[in-house]
Amino acid sequence: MNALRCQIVNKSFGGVQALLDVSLRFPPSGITAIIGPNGAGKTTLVNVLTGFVRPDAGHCYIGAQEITRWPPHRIARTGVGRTFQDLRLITQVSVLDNVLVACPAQRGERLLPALLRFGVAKEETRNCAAAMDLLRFVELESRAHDLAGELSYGQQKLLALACCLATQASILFLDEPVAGVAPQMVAEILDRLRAVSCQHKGIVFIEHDISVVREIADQVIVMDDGKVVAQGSPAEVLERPEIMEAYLG
Amino acid sequence: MFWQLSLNAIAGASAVIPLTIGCAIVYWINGFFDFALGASFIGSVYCSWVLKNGCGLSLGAAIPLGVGVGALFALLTEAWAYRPLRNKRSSTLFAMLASLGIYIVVQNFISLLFGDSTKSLRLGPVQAGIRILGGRITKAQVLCVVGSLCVIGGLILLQALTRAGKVLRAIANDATLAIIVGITADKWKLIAHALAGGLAGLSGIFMAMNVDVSPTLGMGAFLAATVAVVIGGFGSIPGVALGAALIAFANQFGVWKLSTQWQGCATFIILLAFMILRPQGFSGRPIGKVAV
Amino acid sequence: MDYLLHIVIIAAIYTTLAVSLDLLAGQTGLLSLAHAAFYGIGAYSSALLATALHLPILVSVLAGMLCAAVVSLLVSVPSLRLHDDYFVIATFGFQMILFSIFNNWVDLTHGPLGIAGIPQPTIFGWQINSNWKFACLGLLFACFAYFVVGRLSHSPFGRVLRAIRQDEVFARSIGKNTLKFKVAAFAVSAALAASAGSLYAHYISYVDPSSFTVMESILVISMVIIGGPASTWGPLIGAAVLVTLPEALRFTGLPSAVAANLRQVFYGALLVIMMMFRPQGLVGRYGFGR
Repeated sequence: MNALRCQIVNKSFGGVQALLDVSLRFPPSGITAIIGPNGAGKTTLVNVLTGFVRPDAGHCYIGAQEITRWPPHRIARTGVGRTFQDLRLITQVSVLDNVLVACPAQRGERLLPALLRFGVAKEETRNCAAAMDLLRFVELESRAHDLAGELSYGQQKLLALACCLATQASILFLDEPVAGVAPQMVAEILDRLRAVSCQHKGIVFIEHDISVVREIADQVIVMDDGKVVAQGSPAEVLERPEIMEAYLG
Repeated sequence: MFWQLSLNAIAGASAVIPLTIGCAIVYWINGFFDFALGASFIGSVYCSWVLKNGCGLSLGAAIPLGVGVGALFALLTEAWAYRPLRNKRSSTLFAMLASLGIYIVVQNFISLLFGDSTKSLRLGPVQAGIRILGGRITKAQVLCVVGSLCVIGGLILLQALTRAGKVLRAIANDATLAIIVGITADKWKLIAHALAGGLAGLSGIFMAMNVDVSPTLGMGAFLAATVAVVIGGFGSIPGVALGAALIAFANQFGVWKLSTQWQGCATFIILLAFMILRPQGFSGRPIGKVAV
Repeated sequence: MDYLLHIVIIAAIYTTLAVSLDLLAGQTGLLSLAHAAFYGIGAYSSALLATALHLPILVSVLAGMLCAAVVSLLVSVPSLRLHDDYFVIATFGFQMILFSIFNNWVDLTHGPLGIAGIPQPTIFGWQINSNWKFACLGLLFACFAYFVVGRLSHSPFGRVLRAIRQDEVFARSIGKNTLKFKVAAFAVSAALAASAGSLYAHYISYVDPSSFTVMESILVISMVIIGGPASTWGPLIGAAVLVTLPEALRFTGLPSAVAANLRQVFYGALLVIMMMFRPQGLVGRYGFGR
């Protein structure tokens, strides 16, 4: 997959400028962190890139293909996955079903094949195996048949990651993947993120905890008031005193 | 013919407008279409009718009492049904279904008490009406139009100037935030419901002053009102009033150009047209917020 | 005995309706107030095709189902692109319009007089002329609806519907075209409701608009709620309860108009009570919608 880009994107919500002339490029490799104070426009940026919010001005591209006005599901199908800050999972069904539903292009999701069942059983076995692999990867294999709502918060974050991976996304946008998670779980999630990154997938995550960013990010984007104020490797960006002051102050 | 139909449409619209605004207020504040307002609508008419014909009150006394009953009823539905549902964090769909149940109970209860025969609150014998603009308009219709304009004007002023208007707008925009900044949303929702119920009752009485009313009338009026709320857009009182007017005009002229069998279809066609072409309605803000 | 069979047949028709609505309301979380309209489309299609063209029942049922599915697109495609509340109002409007068409388009539907003399059906030479046979046919229809809805809900298709019910944003974020799924669920639901209408028309041998009012839609919604949305046996239980309980009123000797009103009061009160105290229904787990 080609890199995801946005060019001079603007978005305001009732007079509040959430994004101002943001131009960024996200390659399908490496780990990028987006940091910035509350209300800096981080989540809005992810929403624009994944099609959930239409920008007022500006364009988004995957490679040369413009995707600005594409609906979210279409963008998701081209390999852009995302998770949400307030975990959005189907808590009323099993952990396995959450991952299964995310498998792309299932024949059994079409009306007639679902009704007549041709080729669906085979496909289902294949998807189940793939989903179990993913659950093994996030170490939730033993909980596969429990309801998703019964998992701990950290486990739900891992499940959201697994769902995102099940869509076969090449770039994953993770909105606060470790916020509010117990410390020992944080290490586990970060470990998994590194493992994902080794599979030639790009990870972009929003984070508040600078130590987490230092630990795993290859690149940092700092946002404030809807603008990108700095960009670069953690070593250079996080050492700049004016950035840290603005961010902490 | 054109002017007569326009006059009919204006009179028809002004009878539905208070109900429409009531329905809009509840929708903006509570997030569901409150069918029980249809019960206030029809209940007020029958109350006024009983007070006038049964207790021998004058129309001037019976009407405010009828409106009061409509307001009280809406207040009770909020206090006893919607608030408990909200406190249980139920989806708004539950509240809407409960309101539907309440409406059905009231409508059939009235049918049981009064039979399905029609009732009216006419001022006197049907008169030829005043000639104006090449058409005729009855005194009662003039009264409705004036009353309706007063309601629209009064509510716009209320919304813009008073604390109540500001608070209600804040709750409509973001109920959680309003609670955080210290607004007791429950109390204001109660007031909003009472207001909406009173408006619905007023609508019913306006209608009964012009046409004969049967217990099943609430449903049709409520449909016109909800469609007007949808095409009016979120948060705009003039928008929903305009929506109600558009529906009334479309129905009148639909009957003229097409045959009677298609009356009512105009409402649905307008709804379709707005959903396809202008989902944000007149006021520019679509109903229902997309939560991401 | 004939009376008991009559109740069985009516219960079978309502079970078909409730199951088909459950696919939409229970599984997908979309509330439709237009179920009676599609029921009516099926009934009128069958009535017209059977009386005017003397088509066999299987053809007329399929035609009615197809017709309902196609008409459903008129409501679902414009409204489901938007917020779910638009859908509720669109179905409400559609229900009111369709009733007015049944009632007023005299050339086609004979208006309030209705269409009489719908022949008893023959399936492959098997003349269905007694309540016994109708009861069998009714059970067949109900089983068919159960089969279709069961198949769909236990397939990847149904899995996506459940995802949409609980969190549509999530469903879109994992690449599901939720509009397509909702439109498909609505079309299937409408088609199954139409099949119930066809059976009703052939059984009663007479259709008139009064059977397809918004109250009928609400009755079916109540059945789904009372049984339990998105539960296997919920629609069956809901239909059985709401068909049989009001029959008790029949023995109280009240005038029929009063009994009809009392029955509606009962449905309405039940709706309120269920919403307040047991939204998940008698045997369900989830409740309606999200």
